[in-house]
Amino acid sequence: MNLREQIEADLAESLENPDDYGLPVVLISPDGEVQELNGQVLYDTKRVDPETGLDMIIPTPVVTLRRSSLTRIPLAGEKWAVRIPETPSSTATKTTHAIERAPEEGKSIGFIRLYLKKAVQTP
Amino acid sequence: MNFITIRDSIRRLLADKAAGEYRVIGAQSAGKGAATVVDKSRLVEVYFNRGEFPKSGGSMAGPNRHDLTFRIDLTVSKTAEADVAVLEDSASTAEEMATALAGMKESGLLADESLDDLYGCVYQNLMDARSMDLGLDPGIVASRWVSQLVKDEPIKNGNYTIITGSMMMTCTTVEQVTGYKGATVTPIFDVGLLIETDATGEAGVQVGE
Repeated sequence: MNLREQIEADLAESLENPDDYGLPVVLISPDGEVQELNGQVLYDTKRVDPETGLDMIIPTPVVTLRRSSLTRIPLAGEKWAVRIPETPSSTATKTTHAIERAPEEGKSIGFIRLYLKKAVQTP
Repeated sequence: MNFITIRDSIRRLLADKAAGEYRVIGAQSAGKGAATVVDKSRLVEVYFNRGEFPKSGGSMAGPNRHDLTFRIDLTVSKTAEADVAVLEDSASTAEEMATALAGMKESGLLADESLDDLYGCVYQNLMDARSMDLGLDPGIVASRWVSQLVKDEPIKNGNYTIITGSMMMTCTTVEQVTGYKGATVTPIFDVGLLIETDATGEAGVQVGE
C-alpha cells in the first residue's frame, strides 16, 4: 500500500468512524436510491461580511464523504437530497437538504464535499 | 415639505395594500438577516432618492415645482423546496423519491420568481387608478410613474438565496416656501384694501341674483 492509498484508507477513521467525527448521513440519488453511510458534517462556515469587514458565521452545512464508500457519485447539476442530523449527534433528528452547488472533489485523497441548503416542504 | 408627506404616504399606501404579501419599513435598514425576509416576509423599503426644482417651474419666493424620485428597495430570500414529506418517509418507494427529487426547486430559482412577483405586487399597488393621489388629497401630487425596475445578483447565504432589487418612482408636487423653521411669519408688506363706498364690506362679491 503506497502513501496515497494509506491516506485514503485513513478516511475510514477520520471521516467515517462514529467514535471520531463520523455522523450518519443519508443520500438520496436522482433515481430515488437511498444510501446510508457515515461522513463528516460541518454546520457553519466563516465568511467576511463585505459591508462591515467583520467575520460572520453562516449556517452552511458541508458534508465530506469518502468516495470509495459511495455507490454513486453526485455530479454537478443532478438533483440529490441529503439528510443530516440537525445537531452533531448520531441520534439527532435528520433534516433534508438539497445540493445547490457543484460538489468539490478531492481525488488525490479520495473524498467529496457536498454543499447543502436546507429544503422545506413545497407548499 | 410636501415630499416628506408624499414619502410617508407611499409607505402607508404600500403597507395598507400589502395583503400579507410583503412588509414595508422606512428608509434603508442596516440590519437585514436572510431569515427575516424569507417567503412572505419580503421586505419593501421606501425612501426619497432625488429631487429637482426646474427653474422654469417656480418663482423666487415660491411656490416651486418639485420633481421627485423615490427609490423602493425590495429584498427577498428563499430556501430550496421539495416534497420533504416523501423524502423523509422510510416507506416511500424509489419511484416516489425520484418524483419528489425531480420536483425539487432550487432556492435561487424560487428567490428570483419571488422577486418578480413582488415587483408585480408593488407596481400594481402604486399604479392602480385608485392610487393616483398616493393616498393624499387631490392636488398634492401628480404624474406618479414607476420608471425603472432593477434586479441585482443573487447572494447565496447559508440556507438561503437572497435577491435584492429596486424600483424608481417619479412624481411631481409643488413646494411652498414657508421660511425659516420655527420663525413667526411677519409680512413684509401689510397692505389692506379699503373701498370707501362699500357699506357691506363685500365689494366684488356677487351675492344672489
